[in-house]
Amino acid sequence: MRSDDGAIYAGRLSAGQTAASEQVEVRLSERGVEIARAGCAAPLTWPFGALTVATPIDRTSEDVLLGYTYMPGASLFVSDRHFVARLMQAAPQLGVAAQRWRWARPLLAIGGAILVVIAVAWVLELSPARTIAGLMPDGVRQSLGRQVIQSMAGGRRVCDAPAGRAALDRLTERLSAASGSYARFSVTVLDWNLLNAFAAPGEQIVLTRELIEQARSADEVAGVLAHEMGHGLERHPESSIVRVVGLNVAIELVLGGGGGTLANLGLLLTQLSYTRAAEREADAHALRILERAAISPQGIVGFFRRIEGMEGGRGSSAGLDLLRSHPATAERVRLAAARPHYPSTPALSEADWRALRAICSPGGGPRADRAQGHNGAARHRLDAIGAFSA
Amino acid sequence: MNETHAASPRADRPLRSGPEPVRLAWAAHHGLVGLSLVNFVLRVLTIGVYHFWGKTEVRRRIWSAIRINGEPLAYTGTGLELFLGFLLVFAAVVLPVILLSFAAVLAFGPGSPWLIAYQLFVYAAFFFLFGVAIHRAQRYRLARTRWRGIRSGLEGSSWRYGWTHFWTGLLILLTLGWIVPWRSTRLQSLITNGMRFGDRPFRFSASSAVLYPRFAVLWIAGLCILLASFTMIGSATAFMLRAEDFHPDRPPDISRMTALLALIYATLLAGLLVYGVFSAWYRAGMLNHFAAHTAFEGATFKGSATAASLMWLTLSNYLLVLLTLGILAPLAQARSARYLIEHIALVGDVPLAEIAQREEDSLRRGEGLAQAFDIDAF
Repeated sequence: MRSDDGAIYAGRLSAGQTAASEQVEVRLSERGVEIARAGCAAPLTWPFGALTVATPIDRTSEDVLLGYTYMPGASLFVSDRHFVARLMQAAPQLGVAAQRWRWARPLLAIGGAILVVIAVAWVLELSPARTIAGLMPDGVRQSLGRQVIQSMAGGRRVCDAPAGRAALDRLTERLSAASGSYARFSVTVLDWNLLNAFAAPGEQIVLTRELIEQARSADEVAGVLAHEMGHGLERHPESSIVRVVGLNVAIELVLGGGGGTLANLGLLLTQLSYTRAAEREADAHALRILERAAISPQGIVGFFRRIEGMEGGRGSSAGLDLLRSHPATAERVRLAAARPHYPSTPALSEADWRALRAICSPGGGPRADRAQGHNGAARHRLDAIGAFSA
Repeated sequence: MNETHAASPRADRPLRSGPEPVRLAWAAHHGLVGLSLVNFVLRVLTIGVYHFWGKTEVRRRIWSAIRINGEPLAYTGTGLELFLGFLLVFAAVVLPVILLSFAAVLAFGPGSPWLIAYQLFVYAAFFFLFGVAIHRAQRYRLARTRWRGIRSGLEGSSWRYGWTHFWTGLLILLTLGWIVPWRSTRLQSLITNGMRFGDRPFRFSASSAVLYPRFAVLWIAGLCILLASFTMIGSATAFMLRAEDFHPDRPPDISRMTALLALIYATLLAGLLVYGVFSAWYRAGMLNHFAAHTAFEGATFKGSATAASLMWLTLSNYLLVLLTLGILAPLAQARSARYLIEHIALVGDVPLAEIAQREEDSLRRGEGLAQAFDIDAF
């Protein structure tokens, strides 16, 4: 590559001392750019390797603004596309691609590495969120849980008819004792016509009035409770919150936002859901707890079956199934039915079951009219048992 | 190579030391669309981090397209500076606010008056910091701009600018907008009077009084457009909706509903466009007025912005960004810069040879705050 062909180009040189510039003659030599100033005998030589460029050049560049590492402030402007083309050959490091890849390459490597780490963590089922959740002190988890329940409840009444409350406490205690953990769960019933149950941080569980009314036996309620306890034992609610907060921080970091989306915890809660794996874990716990508490798994099986029936009736079986986060009902039923038979007693006595059903009506006995909002969408939300659980 | 390029003007002109005219021009360049696409792809592949380097490359191109007496501006900022600035602000401002917000919800509980007070405080603080960010971003960009090797810069306190931006911003609601011309003039004065090229200052002496006639027209037009749109939408709704549309058992008439919705959107769009014309007319007047009262070393700027050209620029840039989901935003930025350069001239001579280099601005990192707030002029 020979750049010295004798061509002389017009350029403007600024020394960087004042805002004046002078007309100079520029040549490309073997060594670099030679700048001949009027009235100076020897030309300045800027070696190719020490050149800098204000804007990287490429084939379409019409001109170039050069700098020289050892003369900071000085600049040479040459407006001639042939000069630029030849400079490009002699000093390819000034090109657009070279300048871009200098930074893009390491950044791509970092981006790729992060993706690999995420993929590995995914494959190995490493969950940093779970680790952090495991480190949370009990006080923090309980406070977190109270806030979650408070914001989920949204001003709805807490059902606490004394007889019903006592019956529910007996059932909770029986299941808690069977859970094999030191944790003691507390259950809140909300006067809510949405068929749902959810686990909150700090071993707290929420049942809705609709769920208790839809249940046909205390065994069914016990099954739902055991499932939510399973979530609690695995610290799913805590991990979920940590994950969502972490994810939002990451999104803010990448998109450069101002932290606005995290200002609202209520909004955050709508993003919480569990994976299928988490649901399976909760199911496994549920079956184990029921067995140790000597409560028949037929309750939860029956509940699953009826959910399946309602799902079928809604006309959304196979198609939506993959999108749903909890395992297919059939799979759950199969799992529960596969357990060996064991002697069991009813979850609650007849009297206690009647009391529990009346927990939302202070007068005793289930309310005849449930005038407040037969909201179709809410009533037929069948993702009970923790699909949407905080 | 042949010898045709050797025909350089060898005429040894004497160095001009006296004041000389200064001409602004735009040197159109190609490849900005390609650059935008490359930047987008790299940004995705690097999980967003390349953003800062992409933006730097766009700025280098835009700066170099601006020619003063035939020689280009140089942008000397780097992607790394922008990135570090962003990280700093993220660690010092954004992350603490996120964590504090979370803690506040836990401590006070949702819906508590203390929580609302806290959130109001955060919004106010962010609004204040937004103004600070505008000034700091301007300072960074000017500090990284050179012409003939001479640096420009911005002096004055960012906090003072932020404070002015803050309290005048609060007064916009209270004054039903009538503080806006005064506010714009005040803020522009803080910027322009702080601007330096080399060791020489810019001078800004515009008064907001001149802006008020145009603003009054804009304000009244805005009010009329608002009332007209609401009347139109209201009467259309009254005319097209019927009582049975609200009957729970019967499905609503979809085609009629769609027609109504289309009419509402068309009305709002038309209202916005008409308002846009008035707004462009006001902004063109403001730009020319500000230019006429901006001086540099005995030369005065002269603006030639017109309502029609500004309207077209705004509308086309908006569509350009919207329809490409922001990917071609660099093109819109270049068009805005070009518009400014082609509608501003410097009248009078400037003693360029007397302008000396300015001390380097001490700021090390890029406009992190502006990055966090997504402020992006160019």
